[in-house]
Amino acid sequence: MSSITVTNIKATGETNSREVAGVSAGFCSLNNVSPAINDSLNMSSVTDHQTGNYSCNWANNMDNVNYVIGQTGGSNSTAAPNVIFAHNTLPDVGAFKAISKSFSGANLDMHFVSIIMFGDLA
Amino acid sequence: MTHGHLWDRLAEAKSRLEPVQSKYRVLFENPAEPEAPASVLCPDPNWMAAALAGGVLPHIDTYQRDRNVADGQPKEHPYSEPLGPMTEEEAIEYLVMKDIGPEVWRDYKGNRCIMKIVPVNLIPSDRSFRNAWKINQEMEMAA
Repeated sequence: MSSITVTNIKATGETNSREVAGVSAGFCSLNNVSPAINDSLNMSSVTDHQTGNYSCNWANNMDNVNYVIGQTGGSNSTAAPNVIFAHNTLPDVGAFKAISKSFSGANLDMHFVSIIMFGDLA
Repeated sequence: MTHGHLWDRLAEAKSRLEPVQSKYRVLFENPAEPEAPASVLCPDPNWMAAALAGGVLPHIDTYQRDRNVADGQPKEHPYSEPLGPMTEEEAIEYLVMKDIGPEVWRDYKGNRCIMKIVPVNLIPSDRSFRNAWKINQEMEMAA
């Protein structure tokens, strides 16, 4: 694999360039029921703490705690779940602890959890 | 420096290596939360492939030292020289020290067994009572 060193990139047809730091710092496709990781980048492990409560541990830490997480999820259940994801604690540069709940407020395990992370790498 | 940044090595390894689903899980309890259920740590398959292949992951001591470095300050682990190949058992020990707090694997002085490395098949597949899981103190059953 070769590397190019640049500050900004610009897609063909775009008028503006954007910072390379906008590239995702990591992602994870997770089954929170097994639990098992289906695919990932920059993850070392996932920790299942209890129902609907888990941590993602990064292989390469982030530079600071102001990084951004986006996540969504779904279930194998025939009843379509209404899910809310939230930080369970303040993020750490090496890990991110999350909680998934139904609209009723009960913790919920998800068969498919998708997580992406943006921010500055250490 | 020829080994580059850890993130680059992880991305390169992912493009080259087949993921390895570990046959182990780590069960642990947090001594600061005695009422909380046991946690289950599951290794990442791409990370495990990189650990087994070698040439990707830094020495575990670099993560430990970086815990004392303030946010925004330069960290050691992304730039330090990578380790050689590990066995799966060594990789699990590395992961314990990296992703589980030292209050579990190093500092706990109590009599209760609060951490076990177990085969995947000892983790119950029925999660009906997930919030009551504790590490079994007597039998070979995990939880």
